[in-house]
Amino acid sequence: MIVNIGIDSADVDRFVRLLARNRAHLFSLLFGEDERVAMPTLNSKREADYMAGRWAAKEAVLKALGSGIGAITLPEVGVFAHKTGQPYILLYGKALKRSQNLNIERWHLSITHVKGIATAYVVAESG
Amino acid sequence: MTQKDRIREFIAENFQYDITLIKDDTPLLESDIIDSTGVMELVFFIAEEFGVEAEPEDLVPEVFNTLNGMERFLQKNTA
Repeated sequence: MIVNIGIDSADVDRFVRLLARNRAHLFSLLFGEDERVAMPTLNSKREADYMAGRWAAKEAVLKALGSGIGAITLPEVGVFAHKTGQPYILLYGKALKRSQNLNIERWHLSITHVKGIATAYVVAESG
Repeated sequence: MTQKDRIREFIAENFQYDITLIKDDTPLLESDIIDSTGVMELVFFIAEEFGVEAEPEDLVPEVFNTLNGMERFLQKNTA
């Protein structure tokens, strides 16, 4: 049964600028250690696409959890990719606890990039 | 110029909003003055302008939703 859905979009150009200002700070705010290790090596344009997609996915998960930034930190929503490129979600800490409280057992995630906009859509499922 | 006034000026410029409507307690997110990516832009501005780098745990509405919240955050982290 679908418990909730979430969707979010992010402007890639804004992430180009954030990366240029302080890449390390942006990484520390968005990513947990596991995500940083798993991140592929990308050129600067692809890196902004990647960051915007990850941001949109994390925000979409927060929406599906009925939360915003604050109650759950962004590194507590992990976004990874299988070898095929298919993205998936791993939750930690308060995000995991809230997901369990909502009886969410599976997450489905899709990320797309069109004309400088990254959009992520998630479905949270139980049972 | 106070820290709050400097941040107010940044918000007005960066998010193209009438500076006279940005009060110290105006909820920036609920008023659609900034969006969630805008919070990151504010975080980076504060780091560059005042030398205080927020941690993931600092990204809460109590800090970044109002000028008063950001001033308290700066006072706490520069004391």
